[in-house]
Amino acid sequence: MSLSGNRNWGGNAEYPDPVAAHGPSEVVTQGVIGPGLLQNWLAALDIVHPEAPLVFDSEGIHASVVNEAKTQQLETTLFAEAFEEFQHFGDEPTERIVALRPFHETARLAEPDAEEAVSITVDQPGQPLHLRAGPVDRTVAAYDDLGTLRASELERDYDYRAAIDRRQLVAAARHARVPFRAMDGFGSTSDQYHIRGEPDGTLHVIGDSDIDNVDAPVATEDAIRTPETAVEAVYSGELVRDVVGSIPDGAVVSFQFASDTDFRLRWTLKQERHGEQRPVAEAEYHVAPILQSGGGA
Amino acid sequence: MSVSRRQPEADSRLARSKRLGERVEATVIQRVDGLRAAPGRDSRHDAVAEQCLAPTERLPFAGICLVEQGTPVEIKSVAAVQGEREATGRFYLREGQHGELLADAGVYIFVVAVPVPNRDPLAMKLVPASLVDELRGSWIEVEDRLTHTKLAWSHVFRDAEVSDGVE
Repeated sequence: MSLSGNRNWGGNAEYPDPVAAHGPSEVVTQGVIGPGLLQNWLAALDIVHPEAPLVFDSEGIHASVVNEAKTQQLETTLFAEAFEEFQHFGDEPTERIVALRPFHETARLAEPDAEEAVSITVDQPGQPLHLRAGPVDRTVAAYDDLGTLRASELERDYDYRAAIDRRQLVAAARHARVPFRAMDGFGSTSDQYHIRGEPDGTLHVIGDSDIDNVDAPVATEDAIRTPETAVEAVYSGELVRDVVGSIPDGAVVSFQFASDTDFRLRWTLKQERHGEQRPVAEAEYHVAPILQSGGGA
Repeated sequence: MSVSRRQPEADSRLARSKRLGERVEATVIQRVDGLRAAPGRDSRHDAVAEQCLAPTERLPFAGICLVEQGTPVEIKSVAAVQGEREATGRFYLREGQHGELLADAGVYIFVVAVPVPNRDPLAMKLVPASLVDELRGSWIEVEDRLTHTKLAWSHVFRDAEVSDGVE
């Protein structure tokens, strides 16, 4: 059994060694993680779909999901470095399709003051997953089939690509909602955001309800590729706010799009591990554009 | 028994339009990876996604991130301008076909083309039928024609998307 690339259990681990507890033939993956980081990652997944196929391997846990309307997809990883302890036995990845709610609920049971962590144990296929927070044990049955799609790979160059400040982006997404909130109760108004990328790299999040307009600029930290002329596309305001709202505090964010294309938002969260900053979680969202047209002239 | 009121000139225009549509349909199926012509002439739709389709620079999507394998695809084409007045071309949507596409969670590929053989389309875009349903106007019932509506390409494309395709 290969343990290469895995983090080993510490001699003074708070939780029992799963191999000793279950026997080496049963446990496929075992990890112990702080509840905050787990919840941050679950929040990123949860806005796309309440269930997800989780793939466990020596790198950590990966997930790839698409929402029901196929307007949004996500690829994300919770790296082994995110865990206090992480072991995956064998060279092959293993997949379990699960509801995310039990993971949320278990993470909430962990007492931060007592520095309680969440333990995740994956047994052989057909066996439930085991979650534990403090003294509470929970089993989670895996589904045979999710019945929805996994994200597809997009290989594409976009005219605009920049690293942007998370806090400014969160604030811009909130401000751009104002014109639509003002219209609440006055009949239906499409909650849509225009996003514009300028040649100087500035990103604008614009909420335009025809009556009221908010233009919230977001300064770029690093404009990697900028267009010769401004590019613009329209997206669902709700999806933009969901995606932006799921970015964990401290994450590095990059944003890519072009005229009338989907946007690709990627965040990477790093934390100090063994004296250096290492990625502990990352996510990449693709959000479909809405039609922006000149009408039926 | 209904009597046709169309003039021969109108019939000829319709035939030209149908020929353009068939040519464009063949071009799109050849150029888009993962798209396969629907089997048989009596198929309800033009094509089917043979594999999961994702947006590309040549075929951008609106209102959807990806198209599931097996999804029915209806290809609608139009000339950039029509008639002596050079009015904006309009896609011709049939009510029955649109209803079937909606029921099957299908998609349209809209194409703005030039009425010249062997020329690449000026612009293409894939849009789910559910979104088209929000854009379309009322269905028009006309004697001797299928119930239909028309959708100007400017509802689907910006001017620049089409003009960028003109070499």
